[in-house]
Amino acid sequence: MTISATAPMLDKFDIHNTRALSNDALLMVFTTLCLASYPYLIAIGWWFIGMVAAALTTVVLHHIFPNKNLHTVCFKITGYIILLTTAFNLYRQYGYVHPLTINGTVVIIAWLKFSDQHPYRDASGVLLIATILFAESMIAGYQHPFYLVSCLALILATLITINNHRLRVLSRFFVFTHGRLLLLSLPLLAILYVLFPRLPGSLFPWQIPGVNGWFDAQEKSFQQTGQLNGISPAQETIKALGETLNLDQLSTLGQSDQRVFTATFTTPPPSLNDLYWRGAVFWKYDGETWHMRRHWKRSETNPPTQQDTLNPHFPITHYKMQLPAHGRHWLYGLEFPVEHPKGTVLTNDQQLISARKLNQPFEYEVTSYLIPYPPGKLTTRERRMAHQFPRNSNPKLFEFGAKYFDPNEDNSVNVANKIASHFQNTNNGFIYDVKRFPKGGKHSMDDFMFNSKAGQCGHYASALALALRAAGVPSRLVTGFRGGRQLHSETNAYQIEVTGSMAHAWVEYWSLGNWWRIDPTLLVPGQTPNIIPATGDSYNTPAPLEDQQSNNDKKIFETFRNDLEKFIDFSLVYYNTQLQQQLLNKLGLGHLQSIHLLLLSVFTVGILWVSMGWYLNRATRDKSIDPALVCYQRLQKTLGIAGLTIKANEGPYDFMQRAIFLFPEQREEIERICLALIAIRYGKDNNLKQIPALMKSINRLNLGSGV
Amino acid sequence: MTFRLVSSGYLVLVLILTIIFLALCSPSNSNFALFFGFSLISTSLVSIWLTRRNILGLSVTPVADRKHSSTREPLRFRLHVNNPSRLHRPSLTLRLGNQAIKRFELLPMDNQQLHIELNHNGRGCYHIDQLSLTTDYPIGLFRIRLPLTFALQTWVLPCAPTLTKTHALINTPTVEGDREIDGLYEYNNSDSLNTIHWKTYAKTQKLVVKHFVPEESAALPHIWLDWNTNDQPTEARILHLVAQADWAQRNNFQFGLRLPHIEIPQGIGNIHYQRCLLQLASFQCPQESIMPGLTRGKTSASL
Repeated sequence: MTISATAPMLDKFDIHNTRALSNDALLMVFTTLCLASYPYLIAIGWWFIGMVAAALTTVVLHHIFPNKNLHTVCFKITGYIILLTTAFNLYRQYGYVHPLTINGTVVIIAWLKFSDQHPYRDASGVLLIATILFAESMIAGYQHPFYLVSCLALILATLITINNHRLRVLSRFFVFTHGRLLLLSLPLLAILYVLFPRLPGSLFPWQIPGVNGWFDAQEKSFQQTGQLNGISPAQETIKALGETLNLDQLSTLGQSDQRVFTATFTTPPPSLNDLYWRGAVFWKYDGETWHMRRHWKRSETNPPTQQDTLNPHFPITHYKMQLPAHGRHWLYGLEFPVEHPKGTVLTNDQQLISARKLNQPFEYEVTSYLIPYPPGKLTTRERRMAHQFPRNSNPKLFEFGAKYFDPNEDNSVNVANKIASHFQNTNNGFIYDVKRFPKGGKHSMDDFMFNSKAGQCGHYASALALALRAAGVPSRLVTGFRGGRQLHSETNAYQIEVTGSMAHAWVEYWSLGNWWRIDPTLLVPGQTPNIIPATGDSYNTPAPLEDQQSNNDKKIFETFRNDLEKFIDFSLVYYNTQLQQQLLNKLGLGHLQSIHLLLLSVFTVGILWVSMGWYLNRATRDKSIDPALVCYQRLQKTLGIAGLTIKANEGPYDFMQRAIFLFPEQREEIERICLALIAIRYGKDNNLKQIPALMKSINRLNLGSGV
Repeated sequence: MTFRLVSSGYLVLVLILTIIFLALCSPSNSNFALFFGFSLISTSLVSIWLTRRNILGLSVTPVADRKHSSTREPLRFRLHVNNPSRLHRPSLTLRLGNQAIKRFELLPMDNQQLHIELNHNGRGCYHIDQLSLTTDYPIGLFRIRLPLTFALQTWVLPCAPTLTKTHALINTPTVEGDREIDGLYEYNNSDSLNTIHWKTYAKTQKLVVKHFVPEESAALPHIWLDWNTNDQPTEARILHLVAQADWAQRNNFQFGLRLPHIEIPQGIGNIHYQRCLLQLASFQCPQESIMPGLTRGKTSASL
């Protein structure tokens, strides 16, 4: 007998102990990454969205062809090309230290990370990067409560699904786990957020002085009066004139006569009727709301020549603006600003934009021409935007404007005047009224033009801008303020203040190589070229009862929304040292120093945390008895009272047979209970949810007077 | 029970601290970032209790296995895990050292037998002594470890190729039929279930096994499996002897095993065959660590 010599058995068996990743987890990671990328996709623009899409396509293809070496190499090379191209483009667009350059590159890395083919590790890595992106967005000032809540919920859900691959996102257990974790963490979060000491400026002297002006102002106010400054209605007006314009905004927020800003002229100011303080320029209309263009470009206009400035008849003016802090980037200037101070940008829409958010009062000097100057050109993209008329909205208005269509652009002035005269004609019955609104929805302008015919500057400007677009004339909407109130001070006779009630909207149309202003509100019968307050109290006519009711409902909603926003602002967004001190004063803890506050917050969290642990562990101990056994014992007791005692060596099935024999009238019920208990205790189906129902059935057993 | 942060937990901890630091230092208002950081902290704190609760109250016991693995199979052993509570216990992991060897979950009032398979380095006696039950439920950043204090021992028996017909010396049919009982002895763990005397058990509730009178020795061939019959390398010799023992067992021969300094007298039957295989499995077996918690070496029990 011979047996060939063989090496010892050293085979490695294919034993898989690695973590699995469910489709639900993959979906959650994908959603989280989408949300994390969202601010950057919006901020950087279409080409970046394209790059992300390319990265995603690469990853998907990589997963479709996972085991082919050549493909893998190709996909990796493609991934690197996408990454380098994106990084280079971002660098060219923003410079190398700009947050968008860094974060944009990180976003692409996160998308490409999916292709590493180690599902659990990739998912964890992507989630970590997404969390960093979330945090960075918030540190950089991306302040949307919905975004914050979504981030937290998604991160938590993704963590749970990644680590529990058998959990389905739509299962009750998942919702319970997720909800319980969030709810239990709320008290700890509240304590940390409220009590953790805020130390603006005291620990970190490298803070840029003045940037925390809002906080400084609050601190000063608190020291002087013991109260905090709220946001003034005037500040709210500026804040409201933001990236979008809802047509009801001007009348609801511009009702204050408080000062919004002041302008100090070095020379006698222009006529008050000619003062159009230019703010945001809106190009896109979605049927209800106007939107600004997403990307600003610096103005390519040349500064005025010395010859111009020396000409006494040239309509140029120079002035100094004083704007309060309003937390936005917007600045204002008389039409049309051509020179702007350092730290601001003049866009090619002649908007003034501050490089930083205005968190402190801001003063700047501006030079403006009072005529459209200098001539520019309209790019194809701009022309397309200026002709945009939302589909399926306001068909009557489109039809109305299309009647005036003239292919010759040189006749745009005539077309604009003809359409604007529609508002002027007394037979058409247009009136100015800030308390009457056209019906909402996609056809609100149709309703305004042909039914209600009552509205305020925003409605007139929108209707004219859209009608001009239908007539083939490029147009856009501009918001800002009109007019001013001269201040008679001893120091300076040329100071003008602008109040919230002067908020206004007008139209610009393109003709002969320039944008021309047309203000349809001035043409409305009963109006004068004098200054028209946007609130228009003097032009108010009593509204029908139904409309008043509708407006009241809207007001209640608006008030609620404003209150909610204020609450979020003060409790979440602007909670700071002063608010904390106020709260502590109310709690009788006002004397505590920062270090004591830190210790107090840690101690309170510790106590609460330990209590939570005690509660959770107690629940474990108390429920350590088999409920099926308890239920069976209850049955034994019930039957025992009726005279049937279980034997020491009797199993549940035999016990059931004897019970059926002794209580034939309850045969079906006893059989059902016992078989269910046997199935729960010994069967594969460990369905404990039946136990409460079985307990009730046992309690309801009617066994008569016993055996 | 021990608690530790996993590697991703360390990263998240650093991230949270960084977020809070930057939020406090940021020149602009970063309350949202602070809120975000505190949310992560509070969620993590709560999840520590949920992680601990997920493992609290579980009981784990080893299951004796009579069937040993062969070198052609992975190393196998079994554990019985019981969840005596109404809590659903997801995301449980059995670890050997730091290596996850089994992931499972337990329903309320559920119990499971875990069949563990591991890679091995060939024949020998394997000792498993760093088993632990861990969980990182629900968010995977923290791990609670429950060390299992029992030590397991399991065997990997050498497995020889089946001898071909040309290698068969005699093709004797298996002897069957009634055999005379020599006496009844107390049951030992290694005894076959077929030899239990059930009548005695029914009367006395004690397990006893039958020992049979050896059959006529002249009727069956007697052979010795001798280490010194060839001069091949150690492993080849062992395989050779295993093949011979296998062949002798299948043909119902009496056989004995002679190894240097060890001699197993001639015998017959499954128990004898298993004893010879265990001896061959442990003979000159190197003592080595396969992975943390799994070592190959001599057995502590007598063969």
